[in-house]
Amino acid sequence: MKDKFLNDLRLFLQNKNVSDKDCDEIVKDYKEFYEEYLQRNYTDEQIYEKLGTFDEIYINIEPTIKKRQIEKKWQKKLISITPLLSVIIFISVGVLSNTWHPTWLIFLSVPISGVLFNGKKIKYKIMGILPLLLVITYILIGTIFKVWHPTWLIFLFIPVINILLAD
Amino acid sequence: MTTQLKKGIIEICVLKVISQKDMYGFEIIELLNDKLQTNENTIYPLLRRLTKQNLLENYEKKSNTGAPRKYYRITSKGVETLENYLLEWETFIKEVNKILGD
Repeated sequence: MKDKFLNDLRLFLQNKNVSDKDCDEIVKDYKEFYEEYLQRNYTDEQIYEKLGTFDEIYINIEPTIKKRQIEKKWQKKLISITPLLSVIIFISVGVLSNTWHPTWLIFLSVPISGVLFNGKKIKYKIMGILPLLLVITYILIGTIFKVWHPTWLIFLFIPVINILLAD
Repeated sequence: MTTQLKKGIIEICVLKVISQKDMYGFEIIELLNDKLQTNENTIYPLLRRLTKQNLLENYEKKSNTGAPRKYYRITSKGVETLENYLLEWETFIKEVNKILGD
């Protein structure tokens, strides 16, 4: 019964989009309360009554919790449509101007949009997008100006930025 | 007594009891439930809020049964806040008693 209570509480909080950290903390605290009541020989039914319904628990703790960031609808739509747009642009530019390379770089917009609009903190977005942007930059400079060396040095920004932005 | 007034008083009481000794969540709930007819759904959110406001901090310690317990202790900011609350409370009670005494 205790495990059921705690699992149901966790599911309830997750459905309310409570952050994982707060969820773990709250379930751990209620586990402590439940076990304290069990030690005092309360029955499961009595404990359920003491601890209250999940709605009561949630209403009272809501001001103290962080919600998980949910991607907005338009962001989800943009991420979904990027592959199709990339294909259309690639084929259009390729057919009209016979410039297949470096037009293929447009496909890198697919992972870029996924990183940009996934709702995480800005520093994780920078760490995710930087390698892709550097690949695009390297290929464009190399293709247009034929300067492959020492342009490759820009890739050294990846570990530098990751070290600077890491937790 | 109105809910709002009771909530304010319970906050002072929670800070006061924890200022006297570190206590674990259930211990605080039992103590205040006995005296003020409160329950987990009043005390627990309050403990969370006071911790987020840095008036309390918590740590884990093993209980007699070996299971971990979350203990709360008051911070220096909590002590300062409690002193202000107690001063306000004493002034408030004094004024109310003057009015009721009339």
